[in-house]
Amino acid sequence: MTESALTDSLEAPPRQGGWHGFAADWSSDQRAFKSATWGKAMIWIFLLSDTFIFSCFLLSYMTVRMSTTVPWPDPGKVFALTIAGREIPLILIAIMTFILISSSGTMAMAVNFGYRHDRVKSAVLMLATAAFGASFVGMQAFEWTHLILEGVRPWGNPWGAAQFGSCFFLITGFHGTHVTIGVIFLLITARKVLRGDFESGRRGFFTSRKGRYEIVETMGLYWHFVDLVWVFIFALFYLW
Amino acid sequence: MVDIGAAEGIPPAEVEDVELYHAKSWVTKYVFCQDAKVIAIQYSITAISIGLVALVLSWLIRLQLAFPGTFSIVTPSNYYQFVTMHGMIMVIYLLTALFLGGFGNYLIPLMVGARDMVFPYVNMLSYWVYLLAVVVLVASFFAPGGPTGAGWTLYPPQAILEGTPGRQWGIILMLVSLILFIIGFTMGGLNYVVTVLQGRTRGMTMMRLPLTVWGIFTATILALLAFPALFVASVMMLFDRVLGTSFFMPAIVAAGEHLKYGGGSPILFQHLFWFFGHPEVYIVALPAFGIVSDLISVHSRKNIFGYRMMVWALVAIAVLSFIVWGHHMYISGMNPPFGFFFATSTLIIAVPTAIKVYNWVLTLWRGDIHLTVPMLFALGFIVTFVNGGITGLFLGNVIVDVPLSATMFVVAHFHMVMGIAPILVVFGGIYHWYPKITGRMLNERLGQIHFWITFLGAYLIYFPMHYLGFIGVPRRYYELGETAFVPASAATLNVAITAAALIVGAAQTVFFFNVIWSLYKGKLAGGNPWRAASLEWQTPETPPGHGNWGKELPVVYRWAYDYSVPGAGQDFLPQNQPPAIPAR
Amino acid sequence: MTQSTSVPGKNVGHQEGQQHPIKLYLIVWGWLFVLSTCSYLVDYFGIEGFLRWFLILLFMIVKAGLIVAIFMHMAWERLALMYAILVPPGAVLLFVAIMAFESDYTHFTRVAFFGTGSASAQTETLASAKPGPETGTATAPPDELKKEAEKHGPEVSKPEVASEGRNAALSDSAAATGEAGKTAPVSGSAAGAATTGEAGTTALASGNAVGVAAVHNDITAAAKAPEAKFYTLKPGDTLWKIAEAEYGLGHGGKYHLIFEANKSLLSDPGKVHPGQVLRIPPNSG
Repeated sequence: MTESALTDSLEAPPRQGGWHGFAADWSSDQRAFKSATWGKAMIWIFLLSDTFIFSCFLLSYMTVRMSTTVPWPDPGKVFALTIAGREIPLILIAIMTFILISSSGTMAMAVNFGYRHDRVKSAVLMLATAAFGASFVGMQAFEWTHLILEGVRPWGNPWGAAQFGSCFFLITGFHGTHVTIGVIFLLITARKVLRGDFESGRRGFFTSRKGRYEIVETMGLYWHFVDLVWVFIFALFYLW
Repeated sequence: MVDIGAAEGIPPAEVEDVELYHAKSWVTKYVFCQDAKVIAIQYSITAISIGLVALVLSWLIRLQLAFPGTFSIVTPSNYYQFVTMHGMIMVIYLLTALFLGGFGNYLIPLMVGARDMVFPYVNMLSYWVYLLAVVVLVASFFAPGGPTGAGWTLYPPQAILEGTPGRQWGIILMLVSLILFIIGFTMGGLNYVVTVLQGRTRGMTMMRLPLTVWGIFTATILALLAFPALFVASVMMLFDRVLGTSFFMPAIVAAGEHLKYGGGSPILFQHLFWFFGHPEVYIVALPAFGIVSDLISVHSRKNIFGYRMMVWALVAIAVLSFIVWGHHMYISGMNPPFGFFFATSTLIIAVPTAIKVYNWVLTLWRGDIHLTVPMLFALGFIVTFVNGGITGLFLGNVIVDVPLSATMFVVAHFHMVMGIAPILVVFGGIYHWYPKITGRMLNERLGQIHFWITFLGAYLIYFPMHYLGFIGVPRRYYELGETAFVPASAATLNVAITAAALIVGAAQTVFFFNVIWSLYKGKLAGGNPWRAASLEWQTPETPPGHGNWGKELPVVYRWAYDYSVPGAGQDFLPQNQPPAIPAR
Repeated sequence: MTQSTSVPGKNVGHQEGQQHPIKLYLIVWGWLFVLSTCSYLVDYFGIEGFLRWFLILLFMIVKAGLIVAIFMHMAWERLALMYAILVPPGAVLLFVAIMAFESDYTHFTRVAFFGTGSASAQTETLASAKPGPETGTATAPPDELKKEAEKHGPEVSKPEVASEGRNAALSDSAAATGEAGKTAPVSGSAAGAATTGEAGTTALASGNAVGVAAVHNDITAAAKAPEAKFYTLKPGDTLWKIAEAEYGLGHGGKYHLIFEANKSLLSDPGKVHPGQVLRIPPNSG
């Protein structure tokens, strides 16, 4: 299990690219995804499954919205905020979008610095990501409060189809849960990076396995996915 | 199959050997254990235990149908609760969990030559969340109002309305249990898929995997992509019930009351449910296909006919199963032209399925057939599956489905195709791998008794049921009462079916006795009693130890089906036996 | 996607590590900002119709593509992984397409079977407690039904025509479920075999076997005497207050009548929420 011995054995012939590589990878032994570690393959497949969950939520929203005979409230108006005496549509949502995109940017760089073994930069960027994420959740809480005060409930609202509130709370709530979980794991991962767990081979508390910097990338993939979902929610829920 | 690897040399290891978690105490060794083999046994025992509950429920259902109103325990409400719980438990908590969690956990690491699943800790969590889901499900039996009686499809609006039994707590617990099950399953499912994709040993290419692994692998992918729809449907229905949202609830007047619901789409639920529900059929069937292929090949000492075709048929079925869900909804009031689309895709799916059946039969053709107990069950599977599959073709056509839908014909069809057939494979698989798991053989004689009662009994139960469906006996009815179209003899038939059901159910005690008795008194098996070629029989220890393979991982040189090889020393070549003589 | 990956790292763990210049991430970050602003501006300037859809979806897809390709490093993964992840969502797209047709059809049946869509409109109008002008927008049926809509429009806005509302609402459930045959047997549970004889009727689609008889009764009864009123709860309302307002001062004790009539809605007479619509039964002694 020494690494050097294995590094020697890793002198595999250069891999082909393109379609030949595709066929070669699938017909090879050991691993089908030659560019992915176990953790990365797992998170990708998990995200695929999660994609189906969010898609089902969104298509349910589409179905109830298209089949209702009652007018659907105009999200532009519902989510407008009055700032300095002017009503600006969707302004809060736009800010939330920018925040989440920014967090994705910092996360991408954290992954990069992680692979360069730059622990401090990686951890700081991850903490920044977590901070962006937390502020996103905070703004979502503000938005929820705002709407609840205006009388929007999961079972009804003052402006039209009851499903508006149901879908809103369900979809943003489920997305917000993802963000919250992400923030928690970001904090844990940042602590591990800062402490140097991935250099010293310290074992995980639960799994008692040694971690590697690929965990930062795995974390990053999850976080970008959360951002990705928001892109769809922003377009399909708020802008429709 | 050509031994490319053997000729060109096996590539070096790409991934370092894993460091396994070694149990430090009895608790971490047998209870909170990360070893896939222990998890498999935990899964199997839990699934079979809850399955026995469902079996008893089916007896109660049958007793009511044969002797309406005779048994005070089966009130109308109870009847619907029993039907619902029977269906739900059998399909999800027994078959899905047993095939993927039980067989998958045990066989995948052994068959692909891995030390364990890739993420053993997550794998362990998977079982405990599953157990929690089962506990929640069982809790609904003791909740006020009892378990839900909405039918296993849980169709809204009636599932959550006043008047449906178990409306108070049953439906809530049911939905929570489903959500937990899906979360737990996802953790396990990711492990199974990634282990097959990324955790194989040297020389083990995808096209050398035994078909058992292929079946479980494709089924797990289906599950990972189909369960989300059920997850979403469950969450939204839970909201409808608890918060009073109207995702699935149209405006409703019940008992003169204008209910608070309005504007939702009940048919949306049906689409979501069946987008999960149809792949679910194949989640149960594909592992059965895979296992049966291996049983037939091993016990007829012949390589599987058309291995690649079998693999591609599995993949094709898996892909197609995502575009046929609407055939469960012909009478639901969906957009009528959909019937054309879904009927067509449904009939297309019969092609790869038929290929599989032909290949099984052609594997048997001129094979050296050993009528061992696993082989009997495998043959029984082919017969029942073909039977159920053909009635499936009837029901796949809209105009035939419309009159037959919601009759006993449908009940007979799906019990034949996804009840009896997979259960026969489960038994066959247990008889086949029990020696590997325990080191002892199951008793042959008891096994034969078990098989013949189960197999013939299944026909006694379900064959007449087709006839009942043809004359129009509806399913799900508590009591038929007086009708113009059902002759009185149908009641006699019902009594006969019930008698058969009771006998078949009781005969399972033979199996359980066999399993327990053989654990202590069974004939010692040795490492490879069936002289099988696949990797799980080549472990250094039987039962396999922690880490499966001792010091060195095995290296694979050929596919899993080299039986009756001309010129070989014995009549089979294990996958990990280096080619001493140039292969062929 | 061909200049892939296996740049041998320093040690095994980082064999598959992704290394790209930070500048690339900053550029993508900038583009994501620009695209998000663009899609926001689509709404800000109120672009409507096909152009709006085209732009919103375009920006959405491009943003998603950038995130997946660059941030998630999909562009540098090998084809095997790319296709394994990117192809399966095709099943979702098909599902979405089918559901789009399906919801159109559901909408069509709703409008076709209750004439105007006024049934659910009324329910909603009640819920939102904004009669009058609101209904005008509520009834927005296809052209061929518009006339009928105008005919019914004014009536619909009046809560008194509860009978019609309920009648229609009933067929709403029936049409939307379209399930009469299937749900009936199960819902027949409580009432037993006797009621299931009525399986085919739309009434059963309301999913409540106990209510079957009652639904019919209600329709006929309500037709002659639409006596029930509806009341939308305002903040600070209690059942007692409503009872006093409806049945006269000193009759607050009759709140239990209201509670009984709304048992399906209320679990506890003390727990009511603003926005709930309660059925106010006639004062019966």
